[in-house]
Amino acid sequence: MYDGKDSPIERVFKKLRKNNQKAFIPFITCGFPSLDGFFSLFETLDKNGADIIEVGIPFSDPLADGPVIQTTSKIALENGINTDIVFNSIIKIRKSSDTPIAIMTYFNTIYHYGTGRFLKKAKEAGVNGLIIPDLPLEEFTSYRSYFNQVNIDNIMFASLTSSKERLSAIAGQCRGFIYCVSVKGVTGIRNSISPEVIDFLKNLKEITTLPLALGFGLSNREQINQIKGYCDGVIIGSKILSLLLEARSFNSGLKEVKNFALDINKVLKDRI
Amino acid sequence: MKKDEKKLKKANSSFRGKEYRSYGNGYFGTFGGIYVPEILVSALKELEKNYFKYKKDKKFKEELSFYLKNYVGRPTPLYYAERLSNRLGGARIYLKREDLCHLGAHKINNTVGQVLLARKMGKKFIIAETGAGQHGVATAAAAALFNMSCKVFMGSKDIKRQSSNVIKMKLMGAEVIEVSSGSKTLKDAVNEALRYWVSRVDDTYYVLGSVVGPHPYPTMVRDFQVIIGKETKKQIMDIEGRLPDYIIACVGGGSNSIGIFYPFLDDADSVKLIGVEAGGKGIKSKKHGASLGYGDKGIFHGAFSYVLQDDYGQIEEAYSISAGLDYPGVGPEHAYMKEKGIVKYEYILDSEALEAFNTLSICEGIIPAYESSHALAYTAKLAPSLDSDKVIIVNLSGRGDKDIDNK
Ligand SMILES: Cc1ncc(COP(=O)(O)O)c(C=O)c1O
Repeated sequence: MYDGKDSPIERVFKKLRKNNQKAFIPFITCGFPSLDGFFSLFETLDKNGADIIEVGIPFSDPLADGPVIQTTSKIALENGINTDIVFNSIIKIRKSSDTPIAIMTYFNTIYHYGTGRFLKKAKEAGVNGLIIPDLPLEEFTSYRSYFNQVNIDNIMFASLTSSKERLSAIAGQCRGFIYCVSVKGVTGIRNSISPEVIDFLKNLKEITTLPLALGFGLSNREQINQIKGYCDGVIIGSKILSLLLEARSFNSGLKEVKNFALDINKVLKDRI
Repeated sequence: MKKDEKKLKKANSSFRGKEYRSYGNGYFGTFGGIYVPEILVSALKELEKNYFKYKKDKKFKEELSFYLKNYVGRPTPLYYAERLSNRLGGARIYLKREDLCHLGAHKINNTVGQVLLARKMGKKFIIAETGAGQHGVATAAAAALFNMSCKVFMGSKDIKRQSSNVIKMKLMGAEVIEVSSGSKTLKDAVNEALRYWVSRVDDTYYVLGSVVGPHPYPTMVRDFQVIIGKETKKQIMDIEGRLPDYIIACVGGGSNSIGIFYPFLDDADSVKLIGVEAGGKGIKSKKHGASLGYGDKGIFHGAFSYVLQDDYGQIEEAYSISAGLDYPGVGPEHAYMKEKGIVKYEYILDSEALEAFNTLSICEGIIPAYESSHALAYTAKLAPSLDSDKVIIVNLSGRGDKDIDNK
């Protein structure tokens, strides 16, 4: 049951806030490039600065995702990944790591598994948060009680098009952190930040005390330097996955991911 | 059953007929909704607000009827197919001739309405998805009519299968965007159109082609297609002096069927409504498009309805000889009507549809679309078992010229 205490995800942000540091939240797809490759990737990120790791359960029709995550999802599904395998993988990871994990997936995957059953299994496996891009406020309300029963953070999205009233309502239902979408668009690599993002984050700060993590399109230190003063963390997915997709070999890709993670994390942990 | 679902279901258990029809918030019982990324919510609310405003606007209604009459060619005839009736031997069969609409299908009823609305809303760009190309062609035409720029998303597989419709869209000034993600067919064209819309919500209007997707699309597209049923009701009263015994229509996403069924929902005790899905190569072969008959409840393209999916909720590809029925989802209002038992859903195999295609062509000199051939094939099974005082109306949703190349 929800006990009103800080969740593991919230504790990460609290600790970082004390030191005026920001969270590094990488996103990876379970089963990409293979199940073993996923474990190595998780470990690399875990050991090189990740504060929270977002793990995707691949879905056949990922409509909030751009080409990179579409590709990794497709590869993972071709590798035979399913919801039970993802839970078992997290159980395995939990033997050696207690870094908070948030699962990202589309709502049909959860609904079809049975929402209550999914949340229970996720909790048992050691999942700390859920990110569901196609379950906005209106629909979440019918399923809220399931989340409270197992005390898993429901991480909700705020977008540049959400009205102020909506943002308050979202903040009222959301736990863990607010997933702030930095672009009008789908996930994927962009090289700059639109100035409206900073106003958007400033507005959100006035509305809520929940941690704000910015995601979609982040790929380099310049972007992160620009926004880190206005949020509590960043989510980076497509860039990391594309390092692997484009690498000559898995090991060279993994090395690039390691260097990228260290570099980004340094920017995030340097006090402002 | 999920607890909340039960609660909602109870609250809605009395919906039927008029009371149910006033239910304009995007839920049909527990079905429907807006299962979309946050960034689209504001665009959908803007669309909902404008749609409900213009729906009641006198000028909008006048303009729409003007174009439906003078551009689309409405009302379409309700034709007594005497030779077909005699050949099948049994009930009297009438055809609602949507194949006579401009461009040869009912799709134009919806696109003229939506593009007119887009113009009222001050949007500059039109986007649409298409499978067979019928909705793409109808959107391209409406965009040309109202002088708006138009992009149509189409799977690369469909571009190959339906090349003449690609040529038509381009002739009318639309840009056809090839979608090569996923299964490269209609479902991926919808995904890609939605992804594009997410990046251009401010100035772009998305014209969805059936009663699927998030609210307000299922309600709005139905409203634009209800003209089919309204005309039919008046016409059959004029000709026969009574309501029909059966209305039969094919179901892809469900727009032509709901369009003709809707005005008869209050009469559902005496008028039997039958929706015909694509049975493809047979249900056991798993190559079919019968989402209502053999899919499971789930969330797909922004709505809670029935969808073809595997044991873990991954969406499965549909199959049908008819590209317009080749879709793994179905409109949420149909899911509701199935659950309430208001409409009965059946399926027809590819081979049966082909036979009906030939029969109508030979008997009446009318070449039906493969989609509509499914409704005709079911009629051919049913009619001989009925007396000649029974009346069946078939919604002939489109003409079959487009299918001749693939025969
Ligand atoms: C002639 C015709 N009939 C039926 C359909 C199926 O769509 P719906 O079920 O929305 O009427 C299509 C779709 O392309 C079509 O072109």
